[in-house]
Amino acid sequence: MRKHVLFLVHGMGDNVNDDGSIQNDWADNAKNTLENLYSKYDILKRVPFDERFDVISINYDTVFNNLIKRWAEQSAALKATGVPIEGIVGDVFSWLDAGARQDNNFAWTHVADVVLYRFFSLVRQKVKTHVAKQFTAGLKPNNEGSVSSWSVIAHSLGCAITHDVLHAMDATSPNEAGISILDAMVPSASVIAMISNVSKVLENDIGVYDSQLVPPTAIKTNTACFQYLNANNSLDPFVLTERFDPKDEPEWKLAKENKTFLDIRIGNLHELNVHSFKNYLINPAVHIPLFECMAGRGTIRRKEKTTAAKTFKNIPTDALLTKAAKDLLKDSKATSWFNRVGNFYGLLKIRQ
Amino acid sequence: MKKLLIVLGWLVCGYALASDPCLSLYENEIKSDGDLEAADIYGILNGEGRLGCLLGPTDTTGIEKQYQKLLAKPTGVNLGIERGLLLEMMISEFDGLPTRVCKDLDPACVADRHLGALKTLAERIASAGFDLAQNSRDQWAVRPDSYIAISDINVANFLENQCEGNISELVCANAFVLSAKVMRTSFAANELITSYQQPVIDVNERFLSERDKEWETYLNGASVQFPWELAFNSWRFNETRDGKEKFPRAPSSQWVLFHPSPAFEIIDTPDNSSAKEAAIVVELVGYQRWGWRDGKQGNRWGASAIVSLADISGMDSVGYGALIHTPIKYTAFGVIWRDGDDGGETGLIINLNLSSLLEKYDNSDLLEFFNR
Repeated sequence: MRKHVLFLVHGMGDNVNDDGSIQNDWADNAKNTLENLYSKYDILKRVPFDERFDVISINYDTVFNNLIKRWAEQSAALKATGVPIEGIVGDVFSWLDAGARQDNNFAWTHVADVVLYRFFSLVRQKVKTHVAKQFTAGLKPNNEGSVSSWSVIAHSLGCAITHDVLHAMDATSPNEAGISILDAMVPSASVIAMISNVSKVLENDIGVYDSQLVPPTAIKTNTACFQYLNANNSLDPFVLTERFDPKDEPEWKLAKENKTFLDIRIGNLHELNVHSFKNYLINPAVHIPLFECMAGRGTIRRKEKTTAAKTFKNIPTDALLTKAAKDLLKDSKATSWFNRVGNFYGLLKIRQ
Repeated sequence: MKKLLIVLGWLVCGYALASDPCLSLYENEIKSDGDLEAADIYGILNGEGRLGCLLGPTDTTGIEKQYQKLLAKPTGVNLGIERGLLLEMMISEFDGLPTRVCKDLDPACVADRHLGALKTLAERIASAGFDLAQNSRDQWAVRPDSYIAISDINVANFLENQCEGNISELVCANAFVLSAKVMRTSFAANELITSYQQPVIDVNERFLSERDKEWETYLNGASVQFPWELAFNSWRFNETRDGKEKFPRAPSSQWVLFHPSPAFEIIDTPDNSSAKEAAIVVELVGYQRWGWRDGKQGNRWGASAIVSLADISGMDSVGYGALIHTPIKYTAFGVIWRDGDDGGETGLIINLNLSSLLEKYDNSDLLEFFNR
């Protein structure tokens, strides 16, 4: 019998090596974080993490990287002609050329990904098919059998991409039988976990409150997931503008009552980067329901839940950074999403 | 009275349950563990069970081996026989177990509802063939809260209900094994559904591959679109596409705007010789179109109004002309008119997708490359 397939979808940032190959650092760290937390719980750890989950990392950064690299190459080729390019045109090509040197360059490693995905629908379509192919490769039957349970944990920009791709896969039926790409292969996902969920602010082709990722209720039954977990941190600048909050939507309201929509709001700051996957996952309010959704009910004991919550409260937080983050968020000038996020990265750089 | 007889029947029918491979999981992991609560039992069945007695290496029911035969993709009569055998084995899991028609979470009711669902599946397949609408994977799935919709059973609730205060008693053991049978056959139903859905899965996969190939070619196969071109063509794509298509096809045309590229210009110079110079051609505005076949672009043609920037002795640095894009390795050629000390001259422009050539030549200086 196949293991539970667990997809990890990275957020914005550099996830490609210099040679253009996929860099799995984020996924490796995310897996380690999950594995460490998993091993704290008695019933869960009776089955080793790797024997319970088949972890598959989804990468889409290669699409952005290829494009940015080609701009840089083309700019370099123009320079190589020896024909002088001056003025604003020269500035534009120098800027494009800089795309090839992404190291520690927030504009190219983070902002470019978001802008290209949100505002360039031609790039977005390529990202969607590229990611859908990876989901399909992980979910289709193989020589061990079919996937009977699967989940997705997405972070940041990965939430928007996961939303768009799974919606498309569950709403597209390219066969005579009229069966969607997902329905033909697998049952609904056990959980789609959106960590630092920016899918609302990056909403594009389909409304995130109306898509196939609404958890099933009596109002809407045939959807792509059995449970939807939304985790947002009140100190995370990425989720302050247009927070994912479908409070007035009847389907979501009902799903929340049925506990198929888990709307988790936290406010901890345990590491420099409040936006990081780890800073979210370390909180038992996030990882306990997440593990219960993925591994099934009854995998974490009641006593362990109480102890984990108590212990977590006693872990010291970074007081200075918490104050700085709160001050930053209070700053009325930093109202737009890009301003907040840019200021946040500035703060991180100062601290580093 | 009837209920009492069924309870007695369950106690007497221990033989039917004793043969289940998950009984040893109960004996080894649950019965002897004094720390366990009834609420923990499902977690163990769903975790360790899946590694062993639920269609895993210690599952001796033969169901796992039977669906492995289906994975080998038998054809014709054999396919029907193997599917039929799998269904038969799933139904026979409940042989000898007492059943009762009711909605409760009582063992006889649970067994009846799940067996009923399996028999209905078998009957429907026999009479009308397989219909996913009536037998979706979601209906047979064991959901995260342990609910199985097709038979309206919440396995964790059932186990909690039966084992509360009785963890080491026979009633809990029976409930554990019955739960194992319900889950095992639900997982097996997912495998059976796959055997019917495989052709659809193949069609869907081909569709995605083809779409992805088209988009890959569109973005990376031909000359790169600069950000302003991508923005314009994205806007145009949004305006013209069918919003219902979630995985739309890649465009079959595009506008070219202020697009610079390295080129090679051949022109007669005032000293009566012919200059062969590296140039930058800027396509001020242009249009290209092509067709798609199996994810590949074909018959790509286009035309652009251009200026050519080059440093040619005795001539203006800017020339004006037109460029034609051909389907041959994305090559473009055109004519250029450039004013000079002795009047205007008409020259030839060749654009050979130079950035890739440059890469091949280790980014050596273009002039040097041409002068070899």
